[in-house]
Amino acid sequence: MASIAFKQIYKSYGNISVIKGIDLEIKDGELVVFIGPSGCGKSTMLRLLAGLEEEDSGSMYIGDSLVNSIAPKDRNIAMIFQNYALYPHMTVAENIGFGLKLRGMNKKNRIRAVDETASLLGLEHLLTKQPRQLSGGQRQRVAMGRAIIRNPKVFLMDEPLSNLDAKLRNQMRIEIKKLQRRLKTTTIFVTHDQIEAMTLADRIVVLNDGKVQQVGAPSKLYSSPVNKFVAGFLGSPSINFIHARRTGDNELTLPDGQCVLLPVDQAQILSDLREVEIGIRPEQIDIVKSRQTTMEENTITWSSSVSLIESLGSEKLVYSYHGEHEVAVKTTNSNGAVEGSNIQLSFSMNNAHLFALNDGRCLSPLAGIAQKGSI
Amino acid sequence: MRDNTTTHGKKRLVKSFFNAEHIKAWLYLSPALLFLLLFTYYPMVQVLWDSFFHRPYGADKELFVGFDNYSRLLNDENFITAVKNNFIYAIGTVIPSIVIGFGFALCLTQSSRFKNCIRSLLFFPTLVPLVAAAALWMFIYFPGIGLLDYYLAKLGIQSTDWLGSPDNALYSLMMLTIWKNAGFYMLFFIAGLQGIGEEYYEAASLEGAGWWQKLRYVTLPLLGPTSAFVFVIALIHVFTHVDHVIVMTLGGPMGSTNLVLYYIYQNAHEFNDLAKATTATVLSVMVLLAISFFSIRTMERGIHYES
Ligand SMILES: Nc1ncnc2c1ncn2[C@@H]1O[C@H](COP(=O)(O)OP(=O)(O)O)[C@@H](O)[C@H]1O
Ligand SMILES: [Mg+2]
Repeated sequence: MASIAFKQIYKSYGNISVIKGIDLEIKDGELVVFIGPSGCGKSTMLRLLAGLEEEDSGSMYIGDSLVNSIAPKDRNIAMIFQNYALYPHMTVAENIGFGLKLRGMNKKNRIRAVDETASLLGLEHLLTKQPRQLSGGQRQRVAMGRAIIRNPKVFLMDEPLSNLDAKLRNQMRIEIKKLQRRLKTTTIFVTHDQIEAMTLADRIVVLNDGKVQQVGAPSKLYSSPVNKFVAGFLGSPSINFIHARRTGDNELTLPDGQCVLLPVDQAQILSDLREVEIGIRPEQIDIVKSRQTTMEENTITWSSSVSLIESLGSEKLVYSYHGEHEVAVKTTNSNGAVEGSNIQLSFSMNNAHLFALNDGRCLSPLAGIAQKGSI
Repeated sequence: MRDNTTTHGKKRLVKSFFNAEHIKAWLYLSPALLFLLLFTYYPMVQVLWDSFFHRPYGADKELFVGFDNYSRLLNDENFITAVKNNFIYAIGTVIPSIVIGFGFALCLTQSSRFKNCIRSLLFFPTLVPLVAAAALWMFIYFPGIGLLDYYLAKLGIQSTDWLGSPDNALYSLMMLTIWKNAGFYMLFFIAGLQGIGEEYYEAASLEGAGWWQKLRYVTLPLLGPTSAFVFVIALIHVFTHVDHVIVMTLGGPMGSTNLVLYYIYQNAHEFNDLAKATTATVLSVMVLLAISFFSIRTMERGIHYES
């Protein structure tokens, strides 16, 4: 068990820079999830830590030791690959015990260790099978077995669930979390699936374009994203963005001409920005009966036409068009909205985020939940 | 119930045999099939048939002699020598050329401009016709002034009669064969090595494997099907190529480089003992059939390594 630290890590392939100065500390026993769009450098980060790629500059620590120049086999890391990389010519038992064999453990102890690991993962009856005879979920478990049997300092998992069907993925996700809790091994889990990230992580690291965008507990990232990228990446359906012009010191005007007034202290944060984007989560928007007459100053109301309704069981997703804009709403009370009808949407600026149009940074934690949501 | 389905199945089979699709398929196949029958299977059967007949010197027609030809053949010292030579030749060329080809492949798997150059150089001997290669190696082996002796003399080693001495000749031919084939086998091994996913090596690195252990536990087992294939190709080479014997030694000196195929050639065309040639052909075809049967089985066994 060990903590991990990345300090100013840079990596490029040829002249394409892939990792652009990453600083990150991971605590002992923590389960950290790297999330980001495809190609942002998640796998590269894992491979750098594992020693499968060499960094251009920067330093990496596992525990107290600098690992930059240590060979992969001596870093005491176990990695689970996306396609598991199980050896087709070995049985399940041989696959699981491979690392121990390479380290010269004698056969008797090895068999005992393999049996123990197999029973932990429910693989006892499969030990003599070959990988090709196993289902996807079973292969996944064998890969886990090969990783945990050596009791390594760090687990690295590169999109380990992406080859499984949805149901199995949920089940394995829960198993991985339980196992990690039990073994308390520092783990980095890579995914591009935000549900996996939100449910598994002690902390999420959002990566984009080779840089860390934000690090924090799932709920913190959800409630107070530092920029438009993080806000847009987490949450399903995605947060709604609405363009707004500054028409007064503390006044914003929406494309349809509606004005909202911001409290003075928040207006200050805007300083001299002329254009911003308002971000509002689908579940923060209500569908209301009719245009409310007693409107609060900082409530925005729209009329829009419903294009699609999806039912998630207890909740509904209502997609509607407000002019050119598609707006997603997640609600338990759809107030009789049907596809093709006109509805009134309403949300309070208290629940919204403001982002600078030019660089996407979050200007204000306007949302009340942001303040109480930080963990 | 079971019977019912089988008769049903039989009927369906008969029906489908005569349906339009099937007839079309047979029509498409027929040209290739015709030539295969005409030039491969028919001669094989004919040769087998002929191996039971013999026309003694002066007789005007062939007589059925049963297994007489076989016992004549097996009692022919020259044939036994040829088989022994072929055996030594097989072991002494197949194993070294495969090992060398594999070694080349290991060094040259990753592509780079330099390595591609080396690969072409090593592959070059394969492209040279065996007759030309044999002529070339005559110069190399020429006693005293040949390339080999010339350089050995610089090391202070006396000139050797590479092709003229019964002790050396077969081994000299083997050198040529290894030189010619190793590059060919290298190509198969390169293809095989490139088919092994990088993640198998990465996983092995993290599990703690060094270079040797990766070779031992990952590369070699995963190359199983490739090796079986190359092994069979190499064995077939051994039985089907004698151009160099004809060019360089004519089976001599003292039968020391006589191989089975050359023995057949000699009996058929020089000694006019067609019956013996035929019988020896039957035996070698049987060996080749056994090899190809064995090879197909091993390759099929190798298939499940994929996925
Ligand atoms: N071996 C390589 N050679 C060249 N480019 C690479 C290599 N590996 C990854 N890349 C590039 O680096 C970027 C990051 O890749 P990766 O870390 O695999 O992204 P992901 O976040 O999807 O895991 C991608 O643009 C990819 O094309
Ligand atoms: Mg990746």
